Amino acid sequence: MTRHPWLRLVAGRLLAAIPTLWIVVTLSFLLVRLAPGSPFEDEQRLPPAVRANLDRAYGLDQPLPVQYARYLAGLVQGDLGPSLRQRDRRVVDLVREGLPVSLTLGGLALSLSLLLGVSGGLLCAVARGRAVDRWLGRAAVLAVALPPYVTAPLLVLVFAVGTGWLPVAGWEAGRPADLVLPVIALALPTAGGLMRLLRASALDVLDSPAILAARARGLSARRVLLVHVLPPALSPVIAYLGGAAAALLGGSLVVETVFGLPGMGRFLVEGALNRDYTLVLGKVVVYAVLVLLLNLAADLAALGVDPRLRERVYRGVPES
Amino acid sequence: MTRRVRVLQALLVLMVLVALVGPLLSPWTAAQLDWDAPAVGPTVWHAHLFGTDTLGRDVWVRTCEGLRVSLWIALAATGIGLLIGGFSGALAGTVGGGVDALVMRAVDVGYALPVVLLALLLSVVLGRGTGSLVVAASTVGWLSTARMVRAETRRLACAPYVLAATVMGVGRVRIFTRHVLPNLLGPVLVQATVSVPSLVVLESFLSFLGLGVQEPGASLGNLLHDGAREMERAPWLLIAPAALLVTVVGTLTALGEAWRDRIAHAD
Repeated sequence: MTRHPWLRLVAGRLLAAIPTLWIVVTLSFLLVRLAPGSPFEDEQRLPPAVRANLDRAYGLDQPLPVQYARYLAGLVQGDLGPSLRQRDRRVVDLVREGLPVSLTLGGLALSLSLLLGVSGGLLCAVARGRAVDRWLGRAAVLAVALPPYVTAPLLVLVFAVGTGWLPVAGWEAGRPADLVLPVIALALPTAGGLMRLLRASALDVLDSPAILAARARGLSARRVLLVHVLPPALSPVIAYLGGAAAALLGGSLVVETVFGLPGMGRFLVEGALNRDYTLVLGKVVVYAVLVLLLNLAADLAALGVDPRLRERVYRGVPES
Repeated sequence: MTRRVRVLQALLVLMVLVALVGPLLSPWTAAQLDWDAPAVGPTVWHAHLFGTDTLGRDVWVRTCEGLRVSLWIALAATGIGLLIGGFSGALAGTVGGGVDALVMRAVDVGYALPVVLLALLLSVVLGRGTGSLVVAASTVGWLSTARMVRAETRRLACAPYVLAATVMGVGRVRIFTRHVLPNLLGPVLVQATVSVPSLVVLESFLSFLGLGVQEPGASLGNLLHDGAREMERAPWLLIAPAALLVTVVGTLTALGEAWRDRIAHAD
């Protein structure tokens, strides 16, 4: 164990995530179930006997603690129960259908925002105070202020309705054109945030004596920038990525709605409105697991990039 | 104060004015239908300078109304979030032990979900509408405030003047009210300026999804939703609220940063 302190770190973090996850599940279960209304209420008025049968079929006639215990037992085995409103669909299958779409969308958006954010931020830092820096800075503020549900319709208006270059909405598996506008709409705010963060951290590094020394040794400007400035400047960016990924997951909910993509967000809002308890719960649990894993991945990546952090963890110095 | 900050502040005042007195500049009211003019573009005819929606309601008036509602929700939620977050954060920071663990665990749980989902879950319980929107938004604001205030309280607890006061036998309550609390105000105010624009965004996010402000009420979010639905036929329905949302959020964000820098330099 001592030879792989990061292994212990991963194990520790995963173990610590379990109680958090349990609380999320329990709280969500209670919240959803304490809500007034029933999944079968707003259909045509049901005869009481039919209603009782439906409740029995889905186990809703049991006392709440029994339902809770059953849900947890199912969850441990990877079963999220049947959807209450989508006939004959299991929540796991709905998740399995939607997750690849959402992950593709989120992954591409994250890559695009990293590309734009890192290159833009570096450019700003190098051109500090010049026109490029000022204009890119303003663009970044604008991008941060533009939530995806504003950019998405505007992009559609210009590039799909106006010019007809790209599809307005829809999803045919494997057609990349369907993803262009959603990815851009989703990536812009994150890209703006990353750019400002990287600009600030790169400026800090540029002012450090290490860079002066590197320049004094006669290293080329490009080498100084890519080898000596970029890696240390990236470490706060990577620390921010966990949160950014969570924000992208949330944003994908809206982007999927606007563009009609069959992702995780599909049925979620409807499910929340028409009391599809198991669907909402199941998707919330999956999102929570994703967020916890993404945060862990970001922390590990930060360790990978920054030897100073590694040193601290290896010596067992507590964080903060 | 730089010219930039002055321009931003003027812009903010203008936005607030638009939200408050904007509707008075038009002969129409937000709920009034103009039967002669459904879905017309910007025109001087019938004084619909920004056009009307599909029901014939004036876009300018509804957008001003929406801005007012959005700002009001964001402000209310920021206030509530700061109060609860500040109290629980300070409690966790000063008392420590079990209370601290409890509060921080609650914050961790909150952070384990994307903000939107947390709000979605809350609106399931509380039903759709403005009230549950405020609760959801305050919960979100509470998380970051509690974390920040706790860290700040713990940092202040080690400050030399607090240690000196302890040595002099000053009671814990008095130390808190006289030495810690005043120092918390700065960071909390900064938090508020960061929180307002992000909650404007959250509000419009939820209303956009149909979980927030309901028809016939207007907020930037549900106006955007209508606009997105009708954008091929009536793009002005989308452009007016979008422009206003971006201006407001951009101005508030930039101002928040400027004020934060000023406070940071004052320290």
